[in-house]
Amino acid sequence: MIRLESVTKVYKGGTVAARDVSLNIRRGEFVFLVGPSGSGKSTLVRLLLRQEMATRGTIWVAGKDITRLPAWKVPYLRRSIGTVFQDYKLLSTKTVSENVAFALEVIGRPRSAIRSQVEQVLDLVGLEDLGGRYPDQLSGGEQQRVSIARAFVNRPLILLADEPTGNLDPTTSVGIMRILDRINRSGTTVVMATHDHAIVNAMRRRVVGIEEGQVVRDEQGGGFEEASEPVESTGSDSPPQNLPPRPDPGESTLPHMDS
Amino acid sequence: MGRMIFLIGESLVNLRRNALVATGAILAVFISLTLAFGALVVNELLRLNTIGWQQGTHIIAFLKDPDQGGLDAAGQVVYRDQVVDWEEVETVHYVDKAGAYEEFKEIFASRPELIEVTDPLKLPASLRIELQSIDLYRDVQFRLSADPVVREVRSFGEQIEQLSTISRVLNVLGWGLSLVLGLSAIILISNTISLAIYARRNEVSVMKLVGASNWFIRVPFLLEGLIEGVVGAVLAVLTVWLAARNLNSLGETIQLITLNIPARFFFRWGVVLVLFGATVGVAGSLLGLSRHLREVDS
Repeated sequence: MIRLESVTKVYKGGTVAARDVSLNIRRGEFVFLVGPSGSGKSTLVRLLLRQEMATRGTIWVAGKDITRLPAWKVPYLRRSIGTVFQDYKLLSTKTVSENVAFALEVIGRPRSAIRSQVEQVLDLVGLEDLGGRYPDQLSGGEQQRVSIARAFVNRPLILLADEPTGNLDPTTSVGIMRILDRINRSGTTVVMATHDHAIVNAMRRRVVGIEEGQVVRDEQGGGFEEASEPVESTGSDSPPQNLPPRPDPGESTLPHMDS
Repeated sequence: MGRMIFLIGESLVNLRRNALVATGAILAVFISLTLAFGALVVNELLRLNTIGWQQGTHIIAFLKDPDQGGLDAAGQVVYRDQVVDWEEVETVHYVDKAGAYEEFKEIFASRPELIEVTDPLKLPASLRIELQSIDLYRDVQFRLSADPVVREVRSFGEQIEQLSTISRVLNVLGWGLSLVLGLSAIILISNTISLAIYARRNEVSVMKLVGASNWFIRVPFLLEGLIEGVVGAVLAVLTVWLAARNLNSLGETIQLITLNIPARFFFRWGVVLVLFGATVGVAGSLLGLSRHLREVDS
């Protein structure tokens, strides 16, 4: 679903945000990108969205080499990728329903389809009764759920989340992770950049550690801290043999919480 | 259809948010096109009052009577046929003594005492000459004056030349000013679009993220510029049309000068000006979009 081959990104001024990164993420995987601030996690997310162009290397997303994708095709690429950010990026002049519907309106979906899809996705994130509220009438957790609903309303193949729990307290963060987990179990590939130790440790999914723009760890079922025998990224489709098994797709490893 | 309604709605939201700057842009288009259209109307008025003056007559040659050494009526008709063959001449209309008296009575209809004391036989026959080009009036006037059968030559060439000069000056001034103001209008519209992009940077950013196509993002801003250009142009056309209509009613009291401009002139140039306003609006929008849309994070 996502493949990076020797990707390097050097910003103007010489800052190297990604250094010879190779990574292979399969369909339906849930991958955490972890690392200190400035390590290059967000740059990887931006590269996958074609918000930035790689200086060297090749990036494949949903079967397309996006480093060679003409600019006019980028919007079509983004329709297969949902994005969630730490600052939610909600439009304050639109209600919850309008914010979610906006993602479909701007890609030309018919009004009848928009209505039913918005209802379904608000139900999924537990905001079915708050569709008429404005973002400033919601808590941070609720705003992030709206952001997730907007990212998922078009049923993307991939969901990219850049520090989605960065502004939230631990309890609210768990609620957000339960939604992302549910989305992942529906078959959507989720890639999440995070600093949140507790979340990563609770989920026990694939963890890719990044430091100074390099992949320093790629561990299936890993925690936030490095395991005793880290496994370097192989860049191949087959999972490394010495990793613990992936949790059952139908079973959430997160603590229960009311949403 | 749904998409179009959505896009129009978005551009109206832009206009509402930037009402003051948008009004400035509309005024710039309005003033610029009012000046341009005004120049066109003045030009048309001068044209109607020169080329069309005296029903196309540029020169009148009054002919001598036979007792003054001139030609009789039959000879005058033959002379008319000779003049019409001159290469500078377009048409010649012969007005005999009876026709001259009828014309006299028409002009002085309000002064019957004058008509009563005027002897019809004293009024001279004349040739009303329309030239191929007004620039040729001096040559024709000289030729006619030198002819012994001609009593007097009157030409409207000088007046026409003066009016043509005024027309040229007005045209240069009008078009020059409207060009400068038109450019200002493009820059002002470009600024309104830049402000609109800034005001809506969050929406634009989200649109880019969720995969809105480039044209879909651009269309509301293009429509905004288009609306500003068209509204300014329509106001300009209406203003000049109303002003010309008032002039026309004033013209009814001024003899010999026509201030009546045909409706087809307004329609033809109105359409051209509205299209021009639309072009100015779209050009301003494209300028603003090229300068600022890429700056919005996506």
